[in-house]
Amino acid sequence: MSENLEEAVSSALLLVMETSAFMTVWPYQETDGDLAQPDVVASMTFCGPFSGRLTLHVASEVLPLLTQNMLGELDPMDSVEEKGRDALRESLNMICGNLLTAWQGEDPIFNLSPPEIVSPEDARALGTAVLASLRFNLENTLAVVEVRESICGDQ
Amino acid sequence: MAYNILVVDDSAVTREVLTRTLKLAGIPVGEIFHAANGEEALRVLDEQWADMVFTDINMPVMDGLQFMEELHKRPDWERLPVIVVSTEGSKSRMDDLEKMGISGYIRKPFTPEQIAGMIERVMGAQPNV
Repeated sequence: MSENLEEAVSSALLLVMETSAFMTVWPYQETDGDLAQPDVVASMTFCGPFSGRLTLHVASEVLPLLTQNMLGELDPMDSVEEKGRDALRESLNMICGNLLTAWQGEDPIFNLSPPEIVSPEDARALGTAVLASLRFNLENTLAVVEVRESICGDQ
Repeated sequence: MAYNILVVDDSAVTREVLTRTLKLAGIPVGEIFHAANGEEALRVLDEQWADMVFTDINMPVMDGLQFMEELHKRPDWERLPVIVVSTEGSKSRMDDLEKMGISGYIRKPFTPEQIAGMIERVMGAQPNV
């Protein structure tokens, strides 16, 4: 393992947000003040030598920027809301793959579930022990990444 | 020569990002077809000519590995260049994919330069820019 879990979460989130969405993100500090709170959650499971669930919690107001930056331009016929959810799911997918390699190394194979949008209430009920819960300032909104232990196949 | 390309990913956003990247990469691109999973991709290939395929692995209905297994069962598609675009970074998975005969692997998040370089390597195409 090349990085501990917290370092792996941070490096994967920064890589994905900066490379694919050109968004600024840094670890939340108290001096960042009151930020818009997360109200949208993307969730997925990973199954391998270690099995768990990864969730990404963001404020819905950041989704249009995430989508716009990933796509470059939006088709006027597109549903901005649906594209925003899709952009969030795909961001989580990229974060998950990159953090597992950073955390567990390049040898193990993990099977990943397709990411899905869940309610914040459901997200709290998913999985068991919280292994990591990190807060970030994402374009002046609060984003939270959580890794929970879970049983393989537990959706 | 312009290449017809099939993009297979369950994320519409990723399909659009890849399509835009292909157009910006300076590679002669003809038609770009989209499919949300392996099953849809097989239906597209039944009806359209594609010179290469970019496919994700982790997809519902039929994932990228099952899709490639199906391609190998069909002699007319067996030599179709397949480039895997995925978040996965496991060396064991890479080894498995190489044994399955993939033409290349690009890890998400990707850059236009990586896409252009891969097409150049696989197809011998030179970017126009």
